[in-house]
Amino acid sequence: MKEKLTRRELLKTGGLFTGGMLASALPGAATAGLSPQKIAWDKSFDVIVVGSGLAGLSAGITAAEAGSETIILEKMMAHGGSSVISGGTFAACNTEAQKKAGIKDSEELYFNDLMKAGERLNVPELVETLVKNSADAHRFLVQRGALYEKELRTVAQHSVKRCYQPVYSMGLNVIKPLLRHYLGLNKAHLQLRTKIDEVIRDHSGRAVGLKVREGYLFDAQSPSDDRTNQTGTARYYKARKGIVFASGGFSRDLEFREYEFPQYRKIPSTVQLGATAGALKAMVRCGARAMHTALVRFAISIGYEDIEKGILLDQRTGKRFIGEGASRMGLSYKIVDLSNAGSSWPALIYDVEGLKTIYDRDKLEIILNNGEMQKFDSLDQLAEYFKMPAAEVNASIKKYNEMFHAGIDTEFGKDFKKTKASPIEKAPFYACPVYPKFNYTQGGILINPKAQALDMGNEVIPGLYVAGEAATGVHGAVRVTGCSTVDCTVYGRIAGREAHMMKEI
Amino acid sequence: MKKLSLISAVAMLFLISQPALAQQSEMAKKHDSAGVTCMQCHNQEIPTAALEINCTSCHGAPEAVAKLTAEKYKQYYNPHDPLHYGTYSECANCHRQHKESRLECNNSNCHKEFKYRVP
Ligand SMILES: Cc1cc2nc3c(=O)[nH]c(=O)nc-3n(C[C@H](O)[C@H](O)[C@H](O)COP(=O)(O)OP(=O)(O)OC[C@H]3O[C@@H](n4cnc5c(N)ncnc54)[C@H](O)[C@@H]3O)c2cc1C
Repeated sequence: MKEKLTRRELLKTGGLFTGGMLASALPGAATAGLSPQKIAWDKSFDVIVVGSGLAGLSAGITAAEAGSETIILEKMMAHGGSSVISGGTFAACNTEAQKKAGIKDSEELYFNDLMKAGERLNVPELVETLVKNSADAHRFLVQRGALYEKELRTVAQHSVKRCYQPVYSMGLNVIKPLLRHYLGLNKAHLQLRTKIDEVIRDHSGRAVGLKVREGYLFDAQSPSDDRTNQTGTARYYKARKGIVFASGGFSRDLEFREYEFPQYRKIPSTVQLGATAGALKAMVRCGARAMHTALVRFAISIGYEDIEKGILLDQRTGKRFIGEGASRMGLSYKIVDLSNAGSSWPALIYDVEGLKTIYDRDKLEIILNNGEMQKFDSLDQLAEYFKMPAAEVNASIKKYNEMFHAGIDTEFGKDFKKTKASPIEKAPFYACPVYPKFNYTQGGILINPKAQALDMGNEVIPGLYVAGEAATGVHGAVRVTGCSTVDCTVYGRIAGREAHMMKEI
Repeated sequence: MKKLSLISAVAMLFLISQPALAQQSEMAKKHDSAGVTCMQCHNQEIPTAALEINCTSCHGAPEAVAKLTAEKYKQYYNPHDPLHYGTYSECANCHRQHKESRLECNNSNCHKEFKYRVP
């Protein structure tokens, strides 16, 4: 039951850049671009979703619930992408929980928060769509089994309480129920270890299928898995209705990052291992428009609110270099500068009393256990461990303590009272390195409010939808906490619905 | 059987390109002594990494395998039913025949605290 599509038809469009590959995949094919060879589709589905994270599941569930035969393709050995290791904070406005708690929120307020944080690089229509659908998106997840705490949380950059937290702050308490729900639906499939290499467009420009590799074995050691990894067997999958890319971010792609943001070469990433740029490149090759790809967001290695309670010393000089209460990105940029100038990560130091004031006890527990936070009997020992100049460390701390007792930070203007800081006086001392880690890549393929991919002329590419971290336009300069999950759900649902409604071919 | 020549070519390829066979992994030794052949794991035209389906035909469904280790790990996390992935992750995520097996949970130092031995 293989469906055929003529190769000439495919090659007529500038959107098809797979000519060379097709020629090699089809034995006997003549020179690319001339031969009327046919693509033999190995499998066909109504809707094909690329990626099994929150955006992919939201799209897959929506399409399958509407009655489309749906497959979610995932290149890794396990489902869930970054979504299943994420904290899963979810920001929505005008929710039941807000009403119950008497919190006044509005679409305008949420919209303005996002535009402000995004430095107005956000596409306003996209933000509007996100905000309007946010409460319904949360309901959608809960109705399909996602587990959230009842209490809302206060989160930086949101002017009111509007964040739901998954049970135990674990994204898996959202993803696991969704996956179970999805697999229980009629004609809903999941296929792991299937890597998408190319998007295929027909003569009208519509995206009609994918070149994939089945049995793919991801190689986490490669600097560019997408380029160097040859594993798997090539196959052609046809999408009778639409294709949804929910392929996530790319901050694990060392080769791609090298030129995209050269200043961050030393910065590690905490996102899932498979977050490479292959899917992004495939979409660009088929004509889609990539935007904002140099914009990133960092997470910090320790509970961010707790940094301001201690003293931060540059590893190379043993001196303070910033007021410890600096903003997340401000502090990150400073640390990036230090490390590019030859320092290792700065040390954040508390004494035994200071350690007791730490707010994020869970994170503290983790870093005490995994050895990141170390205990020292003396400051000299501490300096030795971090390879810092001991005399400078002692001098910096002495000066800091004096300023603390005098109540004024004459060096960096930190407010000792407001930050609830403590002096560094009583052994044992505790210290850990502080460093930024990639947490999100704002860039991706530009979409419109229907989650349709746009090309370089801002024209819609029919049949091609993008949702979640793989898409761009919603967040602008920097994504706000709790706003990726809502983005994934809102645009995943839209993409699933729109793909389902495409005319069948 | 129609692809006999291809199959033996594939088998040759395996022998030549797998120096790991010299210092056998624990899994390889076990499979060897049980008489498992290359094709039982790689029943494909091209030598791609084994798919889960080739494991389950001998070892049982993932849910059954998870039950086998549930008791042993009841104080901690059952590696065959981990919190993140449940029973939905592929065997080769941790168990490797031609390389050293490793625990995916701490593959990128996410969970350094896990110290399971992976056969
Ligand atoms: C530690 C951590 C904590 C976070 N906390 C929060 C939070 O509290 N709130 C919040 O809003 N956001 C948070 N984020 C960000 C958020 O979790 C992610 O941005 C979001 O989950 C991305 O979802 P997604 O569905 O777009 O992509 P993912 O969940 O990453 O899924 C994409 C999938 O596509 C697959 N894929 C990629 N390319 C291909 C290809 N070529 N072929 C086949 N498959 C492919 C990938 O392997 C992956 O499984 C956090 C992120 C991390 C890492």
